[in-house]
Amino acid sequence: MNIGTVKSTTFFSQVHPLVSILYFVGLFTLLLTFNHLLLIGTLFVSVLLLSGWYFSFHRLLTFFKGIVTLMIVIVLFNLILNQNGRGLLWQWSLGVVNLRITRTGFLYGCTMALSLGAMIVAFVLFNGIVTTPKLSYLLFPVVPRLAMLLTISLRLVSLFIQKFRRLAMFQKTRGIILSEGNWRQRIRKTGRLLRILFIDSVSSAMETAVLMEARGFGARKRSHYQSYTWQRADIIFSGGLITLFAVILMCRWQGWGWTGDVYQFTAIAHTDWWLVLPLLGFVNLPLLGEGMYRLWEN
Amino acid sequence: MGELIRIDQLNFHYPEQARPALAEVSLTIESGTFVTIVGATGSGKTTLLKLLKPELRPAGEQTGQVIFHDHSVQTLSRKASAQQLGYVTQDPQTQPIMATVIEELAFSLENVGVDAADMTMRIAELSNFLGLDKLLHRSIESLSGGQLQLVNLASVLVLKPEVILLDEPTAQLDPTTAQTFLAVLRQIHDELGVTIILTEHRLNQVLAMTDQLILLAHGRVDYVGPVSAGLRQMYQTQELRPFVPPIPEFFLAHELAAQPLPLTVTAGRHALQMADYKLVGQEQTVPPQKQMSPLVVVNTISKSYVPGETILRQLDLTVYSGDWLAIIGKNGSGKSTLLTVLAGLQKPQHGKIRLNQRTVWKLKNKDRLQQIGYLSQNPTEQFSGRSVTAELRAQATLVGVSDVAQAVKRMLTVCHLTAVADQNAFDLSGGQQQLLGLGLALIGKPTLLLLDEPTKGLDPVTKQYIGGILRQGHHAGLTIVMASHDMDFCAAFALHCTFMFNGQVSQPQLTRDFFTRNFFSTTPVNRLVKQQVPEALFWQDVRCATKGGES
Repeated sequence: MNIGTVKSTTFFSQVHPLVSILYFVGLFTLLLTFNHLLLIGTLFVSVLLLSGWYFSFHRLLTFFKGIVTLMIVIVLFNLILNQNGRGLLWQWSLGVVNLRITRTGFLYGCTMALSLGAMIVAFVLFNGIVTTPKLSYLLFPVVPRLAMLLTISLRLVSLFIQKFRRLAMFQKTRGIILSEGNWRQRIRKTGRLLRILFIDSVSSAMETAVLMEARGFGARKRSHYQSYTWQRADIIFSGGLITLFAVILMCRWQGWGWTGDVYQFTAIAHTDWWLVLPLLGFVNLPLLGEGMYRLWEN
Repeated sequence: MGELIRIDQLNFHYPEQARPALAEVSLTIESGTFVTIVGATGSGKTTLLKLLKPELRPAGEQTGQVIFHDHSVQTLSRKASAQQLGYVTQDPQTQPIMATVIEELAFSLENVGVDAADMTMRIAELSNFLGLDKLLHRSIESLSGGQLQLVNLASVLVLKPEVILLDEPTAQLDPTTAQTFLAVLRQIHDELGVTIILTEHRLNQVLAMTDQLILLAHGRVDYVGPVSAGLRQMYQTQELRPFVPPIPEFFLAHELAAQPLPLTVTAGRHALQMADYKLVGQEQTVPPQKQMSPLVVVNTISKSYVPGETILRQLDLTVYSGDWLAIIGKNGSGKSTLLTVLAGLQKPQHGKIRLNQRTVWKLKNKDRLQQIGYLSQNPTEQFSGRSVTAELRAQATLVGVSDVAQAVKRMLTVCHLTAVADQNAFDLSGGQQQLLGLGLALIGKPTLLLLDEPTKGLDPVTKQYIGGILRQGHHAGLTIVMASHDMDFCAAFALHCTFMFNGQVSQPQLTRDFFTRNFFSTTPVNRLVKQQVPEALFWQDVRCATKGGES
């Protein structure tokens, strides 16, 4: 789930990695905190617009087509599986089979689909903002080995994919064509290809490991090149984030935006409208930052 | 200059090998010298290089020692070894471990615990020195082979080593890129005083910057000393004669007196001029022009991987039956893409390719394999990970050879692979892998053979051997199309040559016409004697008529 990196000239990609993490932790928490359609819908549209602004809507659209399919499937399954819901919308019977499409099923399905869709788009934005070097910088003081592994895997995974594509092309000369034959044959051929890829990768990985040692890897405790310093903008931005997040959580504490009993599900509760504004504010705070950043241009 | 490395009676024996890889090697390397180690495949030069750095020491039995700064190199701490002895390998893709150039440069410094402020200074200084400042934030996978090898060198140099060891660093690069890399190496040596020790097959550019030449044969040191005398000894040694670069070879073969032996075209021309040598061309036998029918017709094909970046641009080409066509061009010019499209391994977005009037990608895979043999520039990409015999047997069965056992036996003999028939294909040497790849392509007796850089990374002896196998096949009626940047190989073997540039190929020309008309892309001997014998490509094409006005 990656459609690229956000331009390094934007405000959001320049904030301290810890602030970015703070934002995304807050965003994912909010997506799990509410189950009212209006609020989840607000979060979904906001995240979508925010990602579109950072990645360009054209790039996001191609990726979004896949998510929409998944969301439709979720709604359909909820409609079919929620047979005991309230508010009958449509009914169909054939012998002993009785299919009921209920308002509860529809609302629950839409909420679930929007929530999952928003999470996927938010994760794409997370990948675009919190790049591997930033993640590695954050993890390095806590779990240095994991940070190193994460960094190395970025190169190795791309090398692995590259090799797989080349092998898929050249192994046609050895009779392995992945796009031909029934599914069983295709699986067998993919297995053969993976075996070759594995042998090839192991031999080059062993050489790479020796060359890492030759450049001093493992000789002593490693230092770290990437360093980020806290700026005033980071403090203001994280202050805004924490304030908004606290306000939203307090509302949630009052029971706003959440219905425990699935059969009591409604599209909009009267208190939901009070939450829309702080939610919009939280999700779009980076856009406010971009505006301020441009206003302060010399 | 003082003694930096001393090798004393060094012997090295790999497990389960009959003879030692190195025997009684003793030599001294002084600080600040540029040392080139030359030897045929299996002569022990890579083993010798690896024994100079503790982390690279291969498994095996060693006697004798390597002394670095008066201490055994094996006692060097890992940190000291990383900081003082740098190592760059042959394949540029193997060394990088990080995602971007700047991270790759920082990796070495992070390993030895340099603090962040010092790291920034070192990276800034080095990237400006090597001209890498524009590449710092580029991803490793977006770099060309030459740029990548430069980054590999930089990631070693950033540790400020005293010695840099390089194992055939230009083997995977095209000549122009190799020249750029060697120019940087010379700059590092001349301006920073770093000791350079490298092994190399392509010697025409390296020798001009070499202070000390080491010749290895069967694990023993044959010669240590200045280049000129070393070249004369190489020329006398049957095993090393093919390694002598074309310019000094010209002078040695014609027994022209020149001291020191010229190593560059300029020095060669100067020597010829000073001694007033008059050269005349040898009688050339022009190959008879047969009426050939078109075998492959390429009609305005276009191919791009990324929208907006066209690799093949409305390309037209006709390959005639019985031809041997060489496509010459830089790395990244689209030669490999053209060959894969010709082989039907991928489809162009526009245009048609017809083999015997049938669209190539519409042929069934088996039919296509029976008609087209293909050898990738990295032959391991076509291996299945089995023994040499099993690989050949599987391919013979796949393409429907009638007597599989006989065909396998014949191919093992032709490709000199009988001794390694039971070894796994991935465990063979680079030259043997290339020969096996060729065997796999030829075992079905195809009508068309497509070769992508068939001589890449090979020593001159294996190169000549592969040329011989291809010539035999060509005489038997095989049509060959090869992409290469090896001018000497193309000039020696191809019938026609074409230049690939800007996604298109030029009109194919007879090989001699092609090279004698070119100014840049021609053989070193042609550049040397162009003024007197414009049609000469090799030393054999020229005869020395008079010297200084004498007849």
